[in-house]
Amino acid sequence: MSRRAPLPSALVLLAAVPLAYVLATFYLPLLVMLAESLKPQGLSLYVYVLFNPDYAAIMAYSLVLAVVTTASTFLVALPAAYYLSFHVEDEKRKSRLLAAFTVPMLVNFLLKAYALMNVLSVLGLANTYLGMVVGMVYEYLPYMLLPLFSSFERVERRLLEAAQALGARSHHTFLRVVLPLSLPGIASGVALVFLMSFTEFIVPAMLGGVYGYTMGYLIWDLFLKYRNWPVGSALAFMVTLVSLAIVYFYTRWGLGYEA
Amino acid sequence: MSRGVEVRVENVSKAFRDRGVTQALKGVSLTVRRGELFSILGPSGCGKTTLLRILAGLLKPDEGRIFFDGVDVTDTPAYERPIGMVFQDLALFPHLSVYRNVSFSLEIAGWPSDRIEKRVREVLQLVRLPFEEFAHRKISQLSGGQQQRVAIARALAREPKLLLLDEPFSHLDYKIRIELIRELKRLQRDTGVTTIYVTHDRNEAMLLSDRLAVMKDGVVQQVGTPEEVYRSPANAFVASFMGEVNIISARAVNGVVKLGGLEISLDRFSPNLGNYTGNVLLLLRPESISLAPPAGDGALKLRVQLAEKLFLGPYTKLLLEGWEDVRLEALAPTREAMPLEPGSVVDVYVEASEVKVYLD
Repeated sequence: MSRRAPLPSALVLLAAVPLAYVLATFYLPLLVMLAESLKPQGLSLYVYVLFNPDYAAIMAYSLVLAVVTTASTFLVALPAAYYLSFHVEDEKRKSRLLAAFTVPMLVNFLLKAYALMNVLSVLGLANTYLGMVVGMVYEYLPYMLLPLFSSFERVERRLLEAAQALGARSHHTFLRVVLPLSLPGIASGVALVFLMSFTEFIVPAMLGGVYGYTMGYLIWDLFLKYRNWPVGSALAFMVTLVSLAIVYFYTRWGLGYEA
Repeated sequence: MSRGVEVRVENVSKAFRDRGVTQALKGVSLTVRRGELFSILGPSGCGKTTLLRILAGLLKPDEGRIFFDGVDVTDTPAYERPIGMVFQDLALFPHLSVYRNVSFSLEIAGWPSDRIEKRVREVLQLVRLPFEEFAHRKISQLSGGQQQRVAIARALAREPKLLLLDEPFSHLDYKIRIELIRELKRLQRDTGVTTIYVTHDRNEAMLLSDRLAVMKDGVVQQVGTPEEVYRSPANAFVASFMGEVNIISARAVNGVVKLGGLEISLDRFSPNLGNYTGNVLLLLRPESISLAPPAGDGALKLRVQLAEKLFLGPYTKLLLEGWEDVRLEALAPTREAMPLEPGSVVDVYVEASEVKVYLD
């Protein structure tokens, strides 16, 4: 007799309903998109898209923008998360400051983007690459800050004392203890921001001017401006594959050490 | 071979709240000699860990100074003190191997890697962990006792002049604990590092220490060798903390306590108590009550009733009633206690010189 009790059918439903929802709203459209892209000329369309230098250039440009955005967001979020977690003693103050950093996440981005456009114009950064990156960092900061902060919070404070008693100054302790122990959080933040910024098109479109022509923008144009559904679908499908591949490698390697 | 420092604590006070409990040290002064194995012993909340953290430099005292070899280190941060520390929960780095845990302080000190490896081999040998077998294991792959050895090796790696241990063995089985304590003692002799060991366990402290300090409520009650503190406790708290003891209330009149045939002159303890009149406490260790009359005279014979016998292996605890309304506990070799039946009347012997008297 099997020692594991069979899962009660009512509990299966708990997982089955959301699963059906995801299947219907994500995986099914993905297949429809794939079918759409293969309809006119089969796989040869993919060969065409892959070796089209214009598309490849836009793909590369989007990847670079995603890397720049992710790195900038990381550099802004790291000191903030470090300060919040290790140098704010009072718990109430800590949660208030954390809220101040993350509340913008709850406001619709379109509203924030128009506000930001004004600020960027005043600074003369409207429609520049830098202005666009500022906008990207602004949008994604909470997604980097929260995982960093929560993994800093999980670092056993006793370990910092142990490092100190072994002769480590705070920068040694940070590099040798805090950072390695926070790798899972860093990996989540980086993966999250990279994936979202790679396919982002609203921020580049609104704030980037001529610099804003990214993969997301191109797909948007192909679908809605040129009505070229097969090529749009093929590109969208490839971008999704790249994202899924990143998620796959993240879950295999990105989780850091196991306790 | 590293030589230890002399540690002097001068009038150190500290008050703070930790998880709702007020921790405090009140004017603590003591000196730990060079190369000594010194224990700080006391119940939880007595301030012993606070004192250790102040010695490590992880905590600043409100008042008072700390000296290492006569040099004031009160304001020296932990990372600049020549210390090694073993924490109660060990605080080993979970993301590093045994090797990298041990080499941590050496890497920071900028040692070249061949010297580091030599030293890691040395220290692992010192704590009896074979290098080939353990160096590249993860911390999570070690038993509690092995983790303990790694923590000690890590603390000793850079040859500290002061080793601080905060109840490091408290979560281990008795057998492993005793084994590690003996090894710590051997290790300390071999390295000559001044060692301060914080514990609430009197057996550990007595087994381990050259000298020890007993603390209560942030105040040092007594400093001495385990034998001094056990045999001549400074007060009733120390007496009862260091071992089981019969505490008997009595009254002194003109410097003499008389109780059930027992007669003790207080001037034996202090000449200026010759005329003391007032309440006193008599303290008598259970093993000072014997079933056989001791050689020589001066022993007082008490006729008592054996109320209960508790078998403890080589010794048997006897609960005795019927002497001056006091319930006495005695500890006798089981061989001698065996023939006695509960309920029977027995004669026991007490030497007056074994009785300690404290003003109440």
